[in-house]
Amino acid sequence: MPAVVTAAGVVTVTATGCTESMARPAAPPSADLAAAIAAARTERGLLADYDAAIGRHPSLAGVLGALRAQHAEHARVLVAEVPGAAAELATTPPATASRPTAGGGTNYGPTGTAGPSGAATMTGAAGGAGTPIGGGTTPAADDSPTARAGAVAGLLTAERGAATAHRAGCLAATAALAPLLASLYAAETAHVDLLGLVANAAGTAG
Amino acid sequence: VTTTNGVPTTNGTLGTGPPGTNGADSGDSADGATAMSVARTATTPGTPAGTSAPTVDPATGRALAALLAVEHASVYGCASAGGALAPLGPAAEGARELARAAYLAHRALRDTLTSMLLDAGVTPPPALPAYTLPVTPNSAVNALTLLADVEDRTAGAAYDALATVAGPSRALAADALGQAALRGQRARLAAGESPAAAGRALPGRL
Repeated sequence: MPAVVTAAGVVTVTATGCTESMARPAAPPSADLAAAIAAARTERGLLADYDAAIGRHPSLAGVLGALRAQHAEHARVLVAEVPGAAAELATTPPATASRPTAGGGTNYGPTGTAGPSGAATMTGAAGGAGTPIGGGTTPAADDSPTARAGAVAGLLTAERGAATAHRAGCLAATAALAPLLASLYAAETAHVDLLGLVANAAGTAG
Repeated sequence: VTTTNGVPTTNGTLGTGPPGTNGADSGDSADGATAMSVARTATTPGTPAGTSAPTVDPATGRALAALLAVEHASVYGCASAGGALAPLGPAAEGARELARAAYLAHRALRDTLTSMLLDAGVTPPPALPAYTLPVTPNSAVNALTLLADVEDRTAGAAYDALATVAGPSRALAADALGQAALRGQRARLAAGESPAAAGRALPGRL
């Protein structure tokens, strides 16, 4: 199907271009590689957030699990299609290190540089960076409607931040990576809309 | 017929199903054969008579023209869905509102793309008099399915354009992709699809 060929062709160009430009070990990471790594970290952070929320609120596992699966696909594609991303991610700090703030952009600094302290925003003032939304380290799970609504609200904030970051990344990337980052932006935008519906249901369901 | 992510390039095919019977705001031409030949300019935009050479590179002009060609079809598809939903009474009110919102959004994008091309000295491709609909909107569910299909096609065309365009054009395409993903999901949810099925992990990619 021509459309498939076209889309695949873009992907191929992306992979090929990155391979050529990122093969030199002494060279600093290209802008696209840094953007892909930042995006992958954002996705991994979201995965942790969803895991925590699902763990605390199994009644939301249906919808949240579907969104989590999409983030897993995002992370997989980023690593698979941007050569060098997997290696960089394996040698750099945890995913939460460069997660976006709720309304912030993307930190495209050198690999290994601490990102914005946006994780604190997503976990509450006392949560501290690295703590997943929903307080994954808190042993007593509160599955009340209020707690569910709070968990979904946290995911909403994280999704909005991710959408903003992916859009900014798209605008800053080369044409080879821009379509993928725009697609991630689009997916997170749809997630925000869906989570809004879930938030309403979570806040009203007993 | 050569298509790129659903972009009609040699005829007025919006999809692969039988010709639709509804439609509106499909352009000025009343001659299908003429319109079909004009449509070929979607991927080979020219320079308006009496104007100077285009101020955008040919690839950008082609990418924006291809997206505009899809938007012409999207406007037609949304109008077709809305027209089919019009007599269905209060039960279809939500679906009608989705169709109306989609129609207005695609019309706005169409007009923006047209202006951008004209400002750049590129002849925008005109709308065709009619397009083959992939789904006959003979029920509320089918009308919503048509709307979702329209959004998938717009998302695909925007994704393709993003591999070429830069600057404001890229921002426009990214936002078009995001909004198409959002509207497509809403249409599928309204059609009764589950949240897991309504969303797309990578909008615009086939």
